Amino acid sequence: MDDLFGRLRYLIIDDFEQMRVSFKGMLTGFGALDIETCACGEMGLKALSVHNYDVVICDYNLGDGKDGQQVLEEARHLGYLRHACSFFMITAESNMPMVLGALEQQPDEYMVKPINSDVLQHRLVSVLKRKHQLKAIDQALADGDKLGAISLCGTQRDGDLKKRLYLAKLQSELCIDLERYDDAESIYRQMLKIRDFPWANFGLGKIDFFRGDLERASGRFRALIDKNPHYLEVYDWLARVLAEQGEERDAQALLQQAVKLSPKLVSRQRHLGELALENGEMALAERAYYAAVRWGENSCFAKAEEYRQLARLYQDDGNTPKLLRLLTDGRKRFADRPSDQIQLLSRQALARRHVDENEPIDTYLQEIDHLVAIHKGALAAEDLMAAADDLFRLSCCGEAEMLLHVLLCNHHDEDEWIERVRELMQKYRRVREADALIDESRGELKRIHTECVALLQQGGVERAISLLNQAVDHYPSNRTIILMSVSAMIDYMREHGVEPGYHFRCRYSLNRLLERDRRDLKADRFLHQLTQLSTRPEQEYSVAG
Amino acid sequence: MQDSQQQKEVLGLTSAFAMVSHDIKNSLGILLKYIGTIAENCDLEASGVSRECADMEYEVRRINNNLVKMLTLFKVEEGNYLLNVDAHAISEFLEEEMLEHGDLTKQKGIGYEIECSEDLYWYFDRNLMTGVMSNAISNALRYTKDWLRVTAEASEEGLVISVEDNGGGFPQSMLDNQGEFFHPESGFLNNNTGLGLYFTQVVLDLHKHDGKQGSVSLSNGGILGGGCCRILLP
Repeated sequence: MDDLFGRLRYLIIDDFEQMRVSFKGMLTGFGALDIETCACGEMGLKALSVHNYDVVICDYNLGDGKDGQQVLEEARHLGYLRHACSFFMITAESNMPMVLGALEQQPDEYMVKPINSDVLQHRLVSVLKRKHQLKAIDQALADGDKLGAISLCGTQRDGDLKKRLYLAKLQSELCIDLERYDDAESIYRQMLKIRDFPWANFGLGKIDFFRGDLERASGRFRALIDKNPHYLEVYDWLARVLAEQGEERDAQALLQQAVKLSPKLVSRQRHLGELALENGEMALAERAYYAAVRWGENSCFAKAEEYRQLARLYQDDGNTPKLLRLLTDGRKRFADRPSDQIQLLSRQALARRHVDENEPIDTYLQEIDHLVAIHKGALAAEDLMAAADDLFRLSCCGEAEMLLHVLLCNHHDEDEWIERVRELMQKYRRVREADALIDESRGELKRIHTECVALLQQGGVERAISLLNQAVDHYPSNRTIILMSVSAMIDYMREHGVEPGYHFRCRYSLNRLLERDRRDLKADRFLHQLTQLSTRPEQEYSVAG
Repeated sequence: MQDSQQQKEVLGLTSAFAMVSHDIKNSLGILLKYIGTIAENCDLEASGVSRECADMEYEVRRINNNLVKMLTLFKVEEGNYLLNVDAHAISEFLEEEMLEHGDLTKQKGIGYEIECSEDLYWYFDRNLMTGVMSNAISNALRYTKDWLRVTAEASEEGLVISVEDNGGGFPQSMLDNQGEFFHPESGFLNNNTGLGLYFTQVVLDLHKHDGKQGSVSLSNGGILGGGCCRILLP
């Protein structure tokens, strides 16, 4: 057993020095050698971003900064926590709604203070044993191979009850991600025969929602909330359903209840702000967006959007000092995120003009130009839209249209975005310019598309691939082009064997797409094919041996 | 209006209480660690220091258990308790509950056995049941001569967990009046065992489902001849 502990890497996150020392002492006693400690959540996340740990022991209460639940959520969201890593949440009391309120973001183990070393060792051994049994699935998930993970879950249903439940939960969640709703539903129904698990009912509600059966989804979510008033995630889903049903007032009331129970979730505050704006409740909107900014200060879930919206509300109030300070803070806050930066720059220009009509705004415009030139592919469509809106309002049409051109090149075949661009420009009476802009960006990409299809048909695969990859470099966010190039490269490698350069490019592109939308089915399917491609030789060996 | 004002005050009190208990628990954890270190460093044969350490640890654990009980009862009363039911391996759970009292059993020279099938699983809120077991075990440790026997098996009505010891058993008056402990107005708070039983019953009530009810009962005799605490978890 000693060498098991000796082989692993540990991270302890606790704001209390004596507790860090105590945990470290216990782990050392078990034979652990590689132990790091952090005194706050921010440092913990930093450590997690740099190293792969096998075991994380994190206190829930970490003083003023992030709490343990935030560390867990952000680490998972940012991909710092591999499935194979065991996350232990240490709490002082056994029943905290803030901790237990999340159905999806649960640590591997909760432990309640005071903790003695025998118990910790016992718990560690049992968790590590469990993780070891799931090694193959963890590897598939680490490779992003959801299809592979699903089939592995199906073959490993023989173990003990705890393992079976874990696998059922995992498998059904993956099925939902891949839109295999029937499969997910049948797993949840099986589980509900065992016991009335809230997570299974929650899953069924989500399936109803994705299938478009809002009526049933809302019924299910309501029943869940009645029974488990602390499962706050259900509130978010029910609010989504209600908003789609046009019941914005009910949705707003629901989220108000949820933020009262737990104010820290940035996305919930933002959503509440949005609903309040729609319902014309400016004071509430201001409170919600302010809370989003406040709790987002050291959260990876913060967006420039809450700064923009709050700025708008301040501007309407005529609260100029607050407005200017907020935008300056926002610029600092998002210094390393060009997309958010552009949104804030345009809003800042607008605010300046608002304060004084003759105030020059050239510096803001230049900065936007500069950011667009460097980061073209990394700019989110939503941010570009928002910034273009501000620029049109400032009568800076050239700059606005430049942003929209970037947007259209990244989404040249997506009707939703084309429509939204047209609507926006209509608002500023630029219909003719809109058509020209759309034709221009579409034409360019269509040319590339046709040329590549022709090349592929004539067997010029390698030339087609190089052309496509050039296009991807030029329009790094264009999903259609990316998928075409990935598909061509995978076809090529099927025939000629794995080519490391292509393989790397495919993995990189697909991961970027999945980061943007983790339910991108096509990207998922290609990623699975890619993994199959690289594991095939090994499988053949094992058959032969 | 007054109602919501009142509710606000109660909620504020609970969270204040939760925060204080967090702090107390940190201190208790450190105290426990020091006690462990002292016990380790001093000669076991020497002058009863080890015995005193054991007593000290027993008291610290009692403070902790009572804190947990109070906080839990508080929340249940308010309807604010969030039940976290999951599947747990019973043998693993019981093993861990005994390890929880490991230092104490070592220092007092008490041995124990666990009788439970490896593949027995049950659904329950682990933290609540830890409170329940802690209670039963620490009580048995206090009155036993030198041996504890913990058993678990599934039955029609639910999971039956028994904690037996080879001490003198419960006083007859306690056995006769055990039904009384479930009525807070009977003044049971004067008696630690009473509070423990009350807490246990509250926890078991939270676990009732499919029309099945839990219960706790005390008796004397059994295989070891001492006290026996029998818990039925639905």
